[in-house]
Amino acid sequence: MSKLHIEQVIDVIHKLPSLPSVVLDLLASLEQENINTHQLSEKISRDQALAAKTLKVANSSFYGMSHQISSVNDAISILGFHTIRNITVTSALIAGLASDGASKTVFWRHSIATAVCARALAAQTGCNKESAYSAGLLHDIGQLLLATQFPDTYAEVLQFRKKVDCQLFEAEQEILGLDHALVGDTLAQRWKFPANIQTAISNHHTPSNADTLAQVIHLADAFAHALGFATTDDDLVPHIYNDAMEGLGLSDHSILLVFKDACRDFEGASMSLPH
Amino acid sequence: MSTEIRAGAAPTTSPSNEHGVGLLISETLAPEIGPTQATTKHLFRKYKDNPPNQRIYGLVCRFREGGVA
Repeated sequence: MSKLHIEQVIDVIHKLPSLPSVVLDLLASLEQENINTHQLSEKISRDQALAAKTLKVANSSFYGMSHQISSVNDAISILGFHTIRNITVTSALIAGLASDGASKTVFWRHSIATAVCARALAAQTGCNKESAYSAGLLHDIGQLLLATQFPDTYAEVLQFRKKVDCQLFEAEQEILGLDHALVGDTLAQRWKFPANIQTAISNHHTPSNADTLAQVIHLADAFAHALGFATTDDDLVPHIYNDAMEGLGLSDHSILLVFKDACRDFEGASMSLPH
Repeated sequence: MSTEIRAGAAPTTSPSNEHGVGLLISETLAPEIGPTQATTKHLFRKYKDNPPNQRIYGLVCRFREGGVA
């Protein structure tokens, strides 16, 4: 058993490359009312890799464009700023934390599924939909950091989880002495994510005393597992806290609508996944 | 007590269980259950005594059966 100290994790986090500044600007724009989309479009365009990936997704068959979109500015005009922001942030984060293909795809499938569930939940609860989407996308970022930066130790976590059939964060606490929510919170501080997204990352397994966004992410995470988006044999719906269910006051009909919207949106959102 | 889900059927409701799914989760898979419901039941194999998990299980089954207007 190889316990990790948070100082080791912090040390690794400080060695990671910073996110492109445009990604931080895009995340910061989530809670802004007056967004300068032209300025952000210019910034995305100047990052060639990010712009290329954004255009590739915008031109994918899912969006059904009758003609080729050739600039980020056009993509924003046609698909909307929110869609392009989500595509760009997802692409940048996927590129920022490299790992092997198979586990990376499973990870991002779940993250995107949680994001679409979170946005659909936000629509039913009056929460900011785009903040919910981004928080859903980022909620397990600590897991990806642990898996990519401490692969041998993390393999022990996965073995333990399979053997005991517990939730991943419980296996992490048992084997590592810390969990991905804490690591994600630390990374979120380093990468200067908005404060409400940091809180959601930190509390998505323990939402009882957290804010509405953390409750939304807690439920979205559970819904993403429940709807089978992850497509792994040992996937498990986590323990769902009653505080979050009651706090959001969702009717059965609202939850069914969330399922419907999430399933509809998942395919399009998944276009950002590496192929 | 025997409780079962058939493919295409709504979960049965027990008066003692608000959402009528607590027993369903813990039942052995019946042979007539289709692959989607079998998968859903597998995903909910833990925390089957937790009412919020029971509620969501029932709603996922309903959703799989086309139960959303």
